[in-house]
Amino acid sequence: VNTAANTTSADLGAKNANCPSDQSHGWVVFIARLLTATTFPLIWLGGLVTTYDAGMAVPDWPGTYGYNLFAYPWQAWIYGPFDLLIEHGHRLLASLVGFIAICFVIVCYRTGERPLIRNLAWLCLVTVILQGALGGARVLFDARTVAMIHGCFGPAFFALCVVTAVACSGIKGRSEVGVWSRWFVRFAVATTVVSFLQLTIGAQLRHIHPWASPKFFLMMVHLHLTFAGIVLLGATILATMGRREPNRTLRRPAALLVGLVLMQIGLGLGTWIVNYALPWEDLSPQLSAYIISAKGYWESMVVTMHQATGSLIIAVSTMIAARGWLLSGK
Amino acid sequence: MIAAFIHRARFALVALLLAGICGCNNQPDFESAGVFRFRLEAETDQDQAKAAEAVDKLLVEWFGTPDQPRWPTVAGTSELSSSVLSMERLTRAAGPQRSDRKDNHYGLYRELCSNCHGITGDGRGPAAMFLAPYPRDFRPGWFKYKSTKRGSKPTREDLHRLINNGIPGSSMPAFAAIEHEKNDDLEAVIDYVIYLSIRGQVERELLYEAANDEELVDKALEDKAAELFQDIVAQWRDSSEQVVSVTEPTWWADASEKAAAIERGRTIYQGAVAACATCHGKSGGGHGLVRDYDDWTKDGTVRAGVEPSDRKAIKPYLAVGGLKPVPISPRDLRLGVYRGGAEPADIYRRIVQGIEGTPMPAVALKPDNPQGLSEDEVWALVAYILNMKNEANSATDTGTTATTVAASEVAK
Repeated sequence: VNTAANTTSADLGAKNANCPSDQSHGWVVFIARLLTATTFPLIWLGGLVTTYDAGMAVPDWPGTYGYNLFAYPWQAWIYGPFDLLIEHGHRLLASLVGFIAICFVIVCYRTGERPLIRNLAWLCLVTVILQGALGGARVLFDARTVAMIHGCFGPAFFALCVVTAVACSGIKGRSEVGVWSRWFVRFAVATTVVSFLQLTIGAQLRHIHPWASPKFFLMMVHLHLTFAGIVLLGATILATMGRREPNRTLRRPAALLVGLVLMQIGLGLGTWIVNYALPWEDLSPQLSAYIISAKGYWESMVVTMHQATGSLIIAVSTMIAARGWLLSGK
Repeated sequence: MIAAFIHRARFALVALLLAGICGCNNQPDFESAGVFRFRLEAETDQDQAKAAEAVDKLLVEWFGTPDQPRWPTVAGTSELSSSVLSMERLTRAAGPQRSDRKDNHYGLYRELCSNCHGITGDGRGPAAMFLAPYPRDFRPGWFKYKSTKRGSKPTREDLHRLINNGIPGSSMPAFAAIEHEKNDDLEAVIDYVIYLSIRGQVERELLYEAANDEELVDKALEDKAAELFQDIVAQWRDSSEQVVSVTEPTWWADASEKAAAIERGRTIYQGAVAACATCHGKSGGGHGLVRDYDDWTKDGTVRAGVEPSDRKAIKPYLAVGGLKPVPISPRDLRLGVYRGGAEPADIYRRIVQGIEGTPMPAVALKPDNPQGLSEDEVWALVAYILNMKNEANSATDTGTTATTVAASEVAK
């Protein structure tokens, strides 16, 4: 085990390697990780835009109030209204992610990366462009449903970045394949799929049309709660299975996933409270005087954190699935 | 590989985009008063479809749609209307939400209110089923928390206070954070709420008139609507004249006199004239033996001959859009949480006027009613109610919890 775990990245990082579990060129690994790392704050900022209903703070696209996106006066942006600050900031950060994706494709070719990584790089680029187009469609058509699709597509792109980063980084400990259960990978994939479904249900609640019926909302809330239970069950099974796995690259993220799901359930409860409150008098006389502050700082942070943690759960379960897939030598 | 994927999935991608952009970006409409029509049909034993259709058509002509609101141009009401709301603010509060570089926000009602109160202001927003109490239905024109007399409209200040401060013990948030110094967003929201209320009340009263006069729809619907509209708008204009004036007694600031007043208030609270204990319980815990519903619930159930607690009987009511009847809970006065305001003047007004739309009655007052309470007795009651929280805290400190008090009350 130690021998495998201590294998240096130089040994694993041979260029043009054909095995999917090998590490890519250092620059490729760096850019893949950078792409993943910048996508998460982008998702955060996108969530903040939704929380503050700032999606239509800039009515044109791809420009900003007639300016080229990058030429919009920074003073007007920074010192302007908060909604404009976050919406324009979201667009700029998205452009940065798009730029990194372009660099990623170029570097993959320049370093003669293997076909798997090259294809993943192209897929990242196409996906980020599509996501940008969805964001544009949301603005140009002022369509709440497109905003919801845009909100769901973001975490899917994030998961793709994670897969790419894992594939580029390679994996240590391939010698332990023998003890590896194929069920673990299957469970990780299933947890990822269920987590994504859960996120889409959450997006339905978050982007609900004001003319939607109370019954539809009721059904979605019940579905959201049910899926929360399923995700928790999946994460718990993964963590339990992961405890028998000597390889830390799987054991740790599986434990992290359970922690994230538990935190997410707490944040979900918090999100409900800061949106709709609870019948406090029946639960706690001490809290019965609580008044929700609409668009208050903490209220907004809780809601946005709930949305971002949902993406993080998908990313972590995707990482486990991708690592497991590489470990199993598929 | 990627090209192949895009090639294979191109139809799905295009369909997804089209579904999102075209199919789901429909223009919303105001909903008809289905529950009220259900009640009228039950009362008259006649189908009201024709009247409902005519009224719907008239309402669109007069009040427009959620995206493009209009204000009726009834002869002689322009001055009256401008005293009630501003068309510029109303337009700003309507439609889909957006904002501009100057931080002007548009579509404020949809951004802040419609998720609970519904696009029509019928209290049937998507989240309505989960809230306790249900969000307010503005259409009948009944408002619970206000400084005006029972049966009158609230003042703009009343609405501003509720929207700005929120309502403790309910899901109504405080919107103080969105009040920008340079604009009047909350005023625009108030205008829109008044607009929805007037529109809804015209609809209800017109339907009522049509149900009781078969010839109205064919002959004089517009004339009747104009008459109703004028009357309702005038009620809103004159609401400030209906404010219940409040003067604190001279002893209010004197601690010893106030302590004596609290004891007097205790007797009045338990007494037969005020009869507070009947609903709020002897200790104020809200555990009285009265089971009742608010007027919004009764409107489509009791008044339609449907028993709200009968699960089978309420099915037709639920089918036309009614929310599941929930008995109204008298306030637990020991919590010190007052939805309509915690100032002595607020409590005073709720005692002398009751709470509109709820079973909370107005207390009988002298000299109109010789058996009623005097002004001083009402203030003694106010002092006692406001002191209940302190008494409950003392009881908790000495080991008598609110729960045990409540349990003993229920047992009695």
